[in-house]
Order: sequence, then C-alpha cells, then structure tokens
Amino acid sequence: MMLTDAEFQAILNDPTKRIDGDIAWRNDEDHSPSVEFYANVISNAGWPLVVWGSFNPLIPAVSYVLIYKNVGRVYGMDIGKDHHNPQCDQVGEKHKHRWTERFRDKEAYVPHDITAPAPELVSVRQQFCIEARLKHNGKLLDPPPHQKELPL
Amino acid sequence: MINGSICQKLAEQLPLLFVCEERGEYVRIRTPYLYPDGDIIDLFCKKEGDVVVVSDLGETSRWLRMQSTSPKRTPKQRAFIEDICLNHGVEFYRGMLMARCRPDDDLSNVVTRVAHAALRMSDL
Repeated sequence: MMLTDAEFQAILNDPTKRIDGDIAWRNDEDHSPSVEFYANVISNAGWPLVVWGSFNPLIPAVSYVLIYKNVGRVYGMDIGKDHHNPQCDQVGEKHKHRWTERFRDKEAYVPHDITAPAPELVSVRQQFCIEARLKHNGKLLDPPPHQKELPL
Repeated sequence: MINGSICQKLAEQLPLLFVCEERGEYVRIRTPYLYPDGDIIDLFCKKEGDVVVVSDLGETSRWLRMQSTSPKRTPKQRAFIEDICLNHGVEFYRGMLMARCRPDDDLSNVVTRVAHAALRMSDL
C-alpha cells in the first residue's frame, strides 16, 4: 500500500488522534539494554496507527515513531543516532522522519521543536506529540532502572 | 601504475570512512553503513582486560523493532539472525550483535564483521 502526501498530511493534521491510559516502558523480547512501549492510537477517522517508543540508555538514544499498519513508519523522531539523507546530506543526531511519496520515510530533517535531551523521556515525548497532533490521556511512566552490565 | 594509484587512494581514504569518538565508557565507531532508512550504523567498543568487545549495543534490533507493529520477531527472522551471526562470526546476546577482539585478532576485521551483520540484520 502506498500513502500519498495528502493522506499523510491529513493523518498528521488530524487533532482527534489520541492514546488513552498510562503507558509503561517494558523490556523487549531479547531483554536488551533498551526499553520500549507500544500504544494504539485512536482517532475519529479510524486511522490504523500505533506509536512505538524505545530508549537505549547505553547510548543514550531515544525514538518515538508513528506507524501506519501495512505501510510502516510514517513519522518518527530519533535522538542519539545520525542520519544520512538520500540527497547525501548528514542531518545530525537529532532528527525527524516524515513520510513523502518520493522518499517514503528515508528523508529526515532537524526538528527545532525538540529541545529536550534523550534521557528526558517525558519531555521528548511531549514535544514529539505536539507536532504529531497526538494527545495522550494518561502518563508516561518512568522506565525500569537500567542494570549496568557489561555485554560480555 | 594506474592500479597502484587506485590501491593507494583506497588505502588512504577507506579508513577515513570510520570515525572514532570517545563516548563515556565506550569508543563509538561511526561507520559508513546505513540502516535502510538512512540512519547511520554506529558500533561501540569497550576494552575489558586484553579483549576489546565490539557491539552495536542492541541498536540494530531496536531499529528493526521500530519499523513494524509486531512486538516479536517471526521464527523466520530468528533463523535468519542465527544464520547471519554464524556467517560473520558474531554473537547475538540480549539483542546485541557483538564480537570479541582478542590480542592476536585484527580489530578492523572484527569491526567490519559486526557492521556487516548489522547491515544484513536490518534488512530483515
């Protein structure tokens, strides 16, 4: 399935998108150093959207992404990982991906609205939600404490 | 002569594609390789005794998980990861691709193997 630019913009502009309930970070299936959460997004239009969040405290790196089922990531934000655009420019360790018909999710830009550093998970999430016009009726709980362990 | 100059240029320029930087307790190696969305593959090294551990610190697995709605990998994906690790002599431990560089090993070889494994795993 291919999403058009107009459809993506309609999804992003839809102010009825919301997540209901508190969100808890959990370990992933590998019990890796990262923690993650997954939440369904409800909207009046019924967009098939989910939000993933993940945080790797060893880097530290955080990502929040909006996934359109059967298409993949349509919008996302990464901190702690550099990006190389198809036009060959380096974007930097804080960047956002937005869906376009031409490049799908491969083009990123520097988001001037994201000012919080990666470890401030709640602040970063709030700033992500503002541009994504995503309301969260609940709390993002603190991640479980990270066990400092050498991966040997 | 021309071939010699090509080899010389490669010998001079290839190492510059890997950029090392100290990051806390690790040395981060910024590789020239990209995940399928254009994010850059970083590896991390840490010395423990006389062994250097080279790892992606779970970033490839984290990147892959962020691309779909499925919270678990399929049996086919797990089999491919096992195959990739066997192929490149890399371990998959707690979601991290990693390899040990012992005193007699070539660090650049170990780094290339882990980077290659990350590249292949991200295509799953």
